[in-house]
Amino acid sequence: MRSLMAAFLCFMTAAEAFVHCKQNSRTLGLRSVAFFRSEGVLWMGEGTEEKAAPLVTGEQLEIMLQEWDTPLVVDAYATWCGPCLLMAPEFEAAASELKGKVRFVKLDTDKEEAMAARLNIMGLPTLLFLDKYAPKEGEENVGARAVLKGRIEGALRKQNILDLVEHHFFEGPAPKMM
Amino acid sequence: MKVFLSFVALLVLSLTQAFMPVSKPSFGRVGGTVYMAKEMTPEEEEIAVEKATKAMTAFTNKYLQISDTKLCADKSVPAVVIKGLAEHKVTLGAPLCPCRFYDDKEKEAKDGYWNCPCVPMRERQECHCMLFLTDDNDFVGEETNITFDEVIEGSQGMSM
Repeated sequence: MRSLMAAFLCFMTAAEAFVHCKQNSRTLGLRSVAFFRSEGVLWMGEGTEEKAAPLVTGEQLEIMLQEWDTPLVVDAYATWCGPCLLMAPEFEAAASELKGKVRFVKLDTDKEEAMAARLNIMGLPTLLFLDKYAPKEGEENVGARAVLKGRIEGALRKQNILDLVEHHFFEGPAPKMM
Repeated sequence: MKVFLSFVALLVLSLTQAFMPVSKPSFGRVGGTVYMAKEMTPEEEEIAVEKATKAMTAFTNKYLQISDTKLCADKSVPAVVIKGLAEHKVTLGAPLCPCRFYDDKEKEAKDGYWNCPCVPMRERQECHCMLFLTDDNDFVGEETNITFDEVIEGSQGMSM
């Protein structure tokens, strides 16, 4: 009798755990994620193909802001932002074209609120152009690692993004939109 | 006997909890902290979002006429925005603009400045969500109406 009761208890516990696990999976909206390496750092991205502009967490972006082999462009977006959706393939195309020369990453502001607040994000999408802080001659080094070279809100075409990168990082002319 | 009865009571309690539906709460944010605004089952939430999506689709079509503006040539853009407005309507009680980052969404929804149609749109026809476009916009299309089915199709695959 005791062993029967123990077996029944084990079964009910397992059943309850299974039901809640399935419901919680649906509640959390879990999706399959893929891990891939880019520039020596392990990234968590959606889908299985490596993107030229990977999605990063606030923590990963924090690490990237310490490393300055190449300048950095951040696309701050949100799930239900229509212009963000419109710009996404343009941003990816620009990232592909400048791979190895400039880093491009995406930040989901719905999920990474602390970093979004720290970057003073307001309108979406916002592109941030960040580079290594280099104090000028005679200027005191205040310990900063990064400098914000420029920021712009609104959906842009690939060429606009490339023009802005050229201007902010490689001394190109100021694009007409500015 | 007492031990057996206690055991049976525990089993009955576990059974009750195991088969109760899990409610997906509706969350609000205040000062960066998430609060559970009200309990909704997944089915209730789905119904509420569908109802709000229909309402925001109707509002969009009406306001396009009022403001003499047009939809984006790519209809997935307004579709996603309308869905975002509907989601905010359900979670925050107001159609807060989904194309902005807020430190405190609930506060902003109560304040009203960024509730659609937002003040910049009402005063200067500036809609950075690209929901209501003037003729001089690079992305403007020709259409002034979007159906509920188009909104659902255009916003498929997205989720908050």
